[in-house]
Amino acid sequence: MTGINVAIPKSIDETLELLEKWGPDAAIIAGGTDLVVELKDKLKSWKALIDIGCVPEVRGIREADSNHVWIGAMSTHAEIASSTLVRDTAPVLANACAQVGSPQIRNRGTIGGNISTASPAGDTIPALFVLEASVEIIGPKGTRIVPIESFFQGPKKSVLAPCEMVLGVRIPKLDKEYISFFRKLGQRKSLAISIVSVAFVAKCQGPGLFTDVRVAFGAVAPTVIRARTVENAICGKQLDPKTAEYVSKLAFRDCVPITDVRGSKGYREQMACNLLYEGLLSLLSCSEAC
Amino acid sequence: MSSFTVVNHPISRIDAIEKVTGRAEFTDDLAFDGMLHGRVLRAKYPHAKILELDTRKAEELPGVVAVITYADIPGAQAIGPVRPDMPVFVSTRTMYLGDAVAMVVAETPEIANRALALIRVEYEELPTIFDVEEAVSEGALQLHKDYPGNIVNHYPLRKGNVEEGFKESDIVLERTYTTQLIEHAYIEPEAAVAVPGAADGTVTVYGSIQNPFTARRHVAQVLGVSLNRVRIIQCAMGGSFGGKDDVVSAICARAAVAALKTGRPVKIVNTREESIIESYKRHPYVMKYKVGATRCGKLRAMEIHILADAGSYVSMTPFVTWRSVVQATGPYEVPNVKTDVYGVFTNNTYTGAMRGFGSPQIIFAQESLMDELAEELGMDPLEFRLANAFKQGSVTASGQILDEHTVSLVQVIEKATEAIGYSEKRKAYAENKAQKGKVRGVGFAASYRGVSLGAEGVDAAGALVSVQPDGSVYLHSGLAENGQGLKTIFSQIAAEELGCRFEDIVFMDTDTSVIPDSGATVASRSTTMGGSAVRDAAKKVREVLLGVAAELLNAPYEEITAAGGKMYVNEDPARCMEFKDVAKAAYGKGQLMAAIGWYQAPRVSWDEKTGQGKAYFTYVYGCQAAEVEVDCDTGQVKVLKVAAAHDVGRAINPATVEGQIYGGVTMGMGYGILEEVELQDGVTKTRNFDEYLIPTSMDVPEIVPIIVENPDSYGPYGAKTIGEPTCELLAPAIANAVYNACGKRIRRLPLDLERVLLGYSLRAARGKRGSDEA
Repeated sequence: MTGINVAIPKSIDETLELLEKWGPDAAIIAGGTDLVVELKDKLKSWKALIDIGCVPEVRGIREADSNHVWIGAMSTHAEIASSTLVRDTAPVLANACAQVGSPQIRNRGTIGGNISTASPAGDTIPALFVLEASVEIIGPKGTRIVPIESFFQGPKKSVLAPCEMVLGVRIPKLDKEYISFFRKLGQRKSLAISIVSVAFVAKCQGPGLFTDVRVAFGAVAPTVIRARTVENAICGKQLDPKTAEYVSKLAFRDCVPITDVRGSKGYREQMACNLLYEGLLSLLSCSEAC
Repeated sequence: MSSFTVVNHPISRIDAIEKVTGRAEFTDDLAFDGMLHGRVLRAKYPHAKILELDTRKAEELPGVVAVITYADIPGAQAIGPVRPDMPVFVSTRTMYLGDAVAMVVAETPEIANRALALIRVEYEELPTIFDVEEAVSEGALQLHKDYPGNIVNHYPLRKGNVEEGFKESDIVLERTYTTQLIEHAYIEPEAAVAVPGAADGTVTVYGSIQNPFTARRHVAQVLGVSLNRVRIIQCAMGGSFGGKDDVVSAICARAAVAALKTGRPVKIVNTREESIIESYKRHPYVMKYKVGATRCGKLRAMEIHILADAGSYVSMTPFVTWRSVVQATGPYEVPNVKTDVYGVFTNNTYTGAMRGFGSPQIIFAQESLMDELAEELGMDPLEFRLANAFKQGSVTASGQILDEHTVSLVQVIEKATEAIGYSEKRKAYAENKAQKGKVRGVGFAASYRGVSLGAEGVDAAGALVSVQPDGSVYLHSGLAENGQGLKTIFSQIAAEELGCRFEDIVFMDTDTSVIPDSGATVASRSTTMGGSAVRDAAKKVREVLLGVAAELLNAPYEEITAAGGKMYVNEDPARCMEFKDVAKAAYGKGQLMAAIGWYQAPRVSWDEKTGQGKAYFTYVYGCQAAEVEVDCDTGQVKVLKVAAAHDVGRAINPATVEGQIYGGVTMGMGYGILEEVELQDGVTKTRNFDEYLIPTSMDVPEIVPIIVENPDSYGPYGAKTIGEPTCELLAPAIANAVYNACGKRIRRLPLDLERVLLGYSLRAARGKRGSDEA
């Protein structure tokens, strides 16, 4: 770790200048919960770290307009989990953030970091998928907006070009008719990377009847995925526990998991189905009240 | 109300504040002028011939002071607690991935790290064995020429006639149980600093050392010097659990060789990854049990065949497996027993001492088996156990009659199972065979455990009590604080026996130049053995002080009581002196106010050929009962509540006994449902705590500690043991509870998600480290 430069820019313009100056030799450091491990394990050898902790443009959680919430890249999981705005308009994200790592990691780790790291097991990402969030990217050519689903290209691969960084995410607000669900499965209760995670939102039209169904899985494919087969099987159709069981088996069609230290392919496939079933039952029981 | 003043009271640990405030000084906190840093180059392959080792480029790097290899060792090339077979640096052949090939000694750890990359080693890979059954099979590759069949050791035990026993049985069950390789997971990785002495060839080694006398013996052997040339000082320990024994001896020896070669202090601190790769682990066992019982539920015969994976070196395998052979039938009367336990070499990471020491494995097998057999007999597992349980005067598998202590097995079983509501809940939960959703279950496991070393070896310990002219007291012990609370317990015993105040005692760091060799701080022997030595020393000094007090108080010696910082006349407590004034007077009279205490264990015996004898001088009994919730959809086991009843003889400090129970239960839970060191062809895959998962505070269930006291005739104030029994029972209790919950019998640890859901783990093909690429 000897001889690494650390820059602490005070504005986004200064950050962009530093990114241009160092190019691929620099890394943005936000919470550092992934990056410091990579440094220690010598998986990467950067010459410079750009600490964006003092950049005001990447901070804050606010209403972007009457239909959108904006969350700055530097927002920590703890801040998002406790934000009234997020809990009211995107509860699935607040729920996901509350289950990341441990209190220490939630206090350090940021949503911008979780997105930029581009892990298929990142806990906020399935929630952002079902919220159909957009990622605001800033770079030398200005700002561009990328739908979250188009942002990821594979494990640890994204559309972020060198010299670009995530500024924040824009999230369409959900109204009160939406029901949501987030569940991660880990080997233990905290500090566990997801073996499988699933996020849901659906607009409730009456008991067992949903439209605008959105389902996403984490850790079952090279990136987080939307489960379209499952969504189509639920959307506009009458759901009951029996059909829920049938539908949950469709999760197979959307998932292509692998075997790693946390779980095998076969186990993950089953878990995608079982967590989906659990989610559908939860949705059903919530829909009784609407 | 306790009849004691200091002992038997829940006094706060004397090292608590310094540890929680970060003031405790650990080995890595030490710095000496001119100190160098050693970094070790490890084997690239678990089994390979070293064709060439070229260190010249590394030596040329500015800031590198020396590169140490086997050629620099003046004395013994290899060490080991039982057989000296583990090289401090390998010369011609690597036996596992953690072997040290060379060590760079440099001005900074960073320079040393860079120099490691400049060492060129040419290897020729050799054939390997990673499976114990393959290792003992006909025609298998021989790993060590002195050990035919790759057998480290074989312990037979023969009692009665098992053939006859099985004939008399109405039901005979055969089951195989297996346990996994696990890591001690102490919070502080191994560390040592060696400082060359002013006199030629002397060295002082500070370190995270569980057993200072073992480390001293090994360092002296490697340096080729007498024992008194090596002084070992133990630093504050960030955990050990049996783990900082021979592996730390090797590290101390490397530091000492480098310190004498360079003439400067040398510090070695393992990273977590190095620690997990290098350090020995708990033995994985493959256990074949055959058991016979009559229809009315009496055990008639047990035949047991166990293969213990020793990995690459002998280490503690002969002692670990010896405890297994003694205790393999569990705490039950079995008239006919045939047990064979084998330690087996492989090219896996070597295995050695870990809290439990050969008992967690066999208890997992025998306590799972007891539930399985009860089920076959249509009996309640509790009634079945009680019908066969050791009682006063029972005879063990090794023919020992249990009549010198209170056999409290039934008592602990009843207390733990009652606290969890076992009988009612078991019946209720057994009805519920849901295949979906969450279901609950209860289970328990019981054990008996020999206290201290038993017939393993020499068993004696010493202590030094020294009262100062102002009445304050130094306490030195030959056994060491490893986090178990020894300093507090020993100080309580010294204060009780001297009659001084607890706060007048200062416990000194263990230093081999001050105190007689007391053997190792292992086998849950510190309170029984070391505590008795402290009591002996304190008693000798008290007698001197009482003599002085008798003179000053003008009363007969035997009518004076020393307690709580005062000495007073029994009949007239107003005639009294402060302890400190007595000390001052004794000093003024030129009296000796210091004494060495010594305690030698009662005689034990063992016949190596038949496995018969008085294995241990006393035993403890324990039972842990668990309630769990199993998620049938994910295989996740949540431990909801654990009741742990342990007979400790006498609780010298009930608070630290409870602390041992909380810690042991938590470790036992990790063994039961989470932990496994993954080796792929001898290569450690789980190298840090992101992948080697131990329970977090969020996972710890409600724990109900139940202290049972049946004072023993040997230990101080009747005290026996608590450290290890707490850690050996929960895994089978959980396995039995999982069966009660969902009808799945799992005979392999750990009961992780996949194993509970599918019955086996599919994770055999491991991914690479890191969260994503795999």
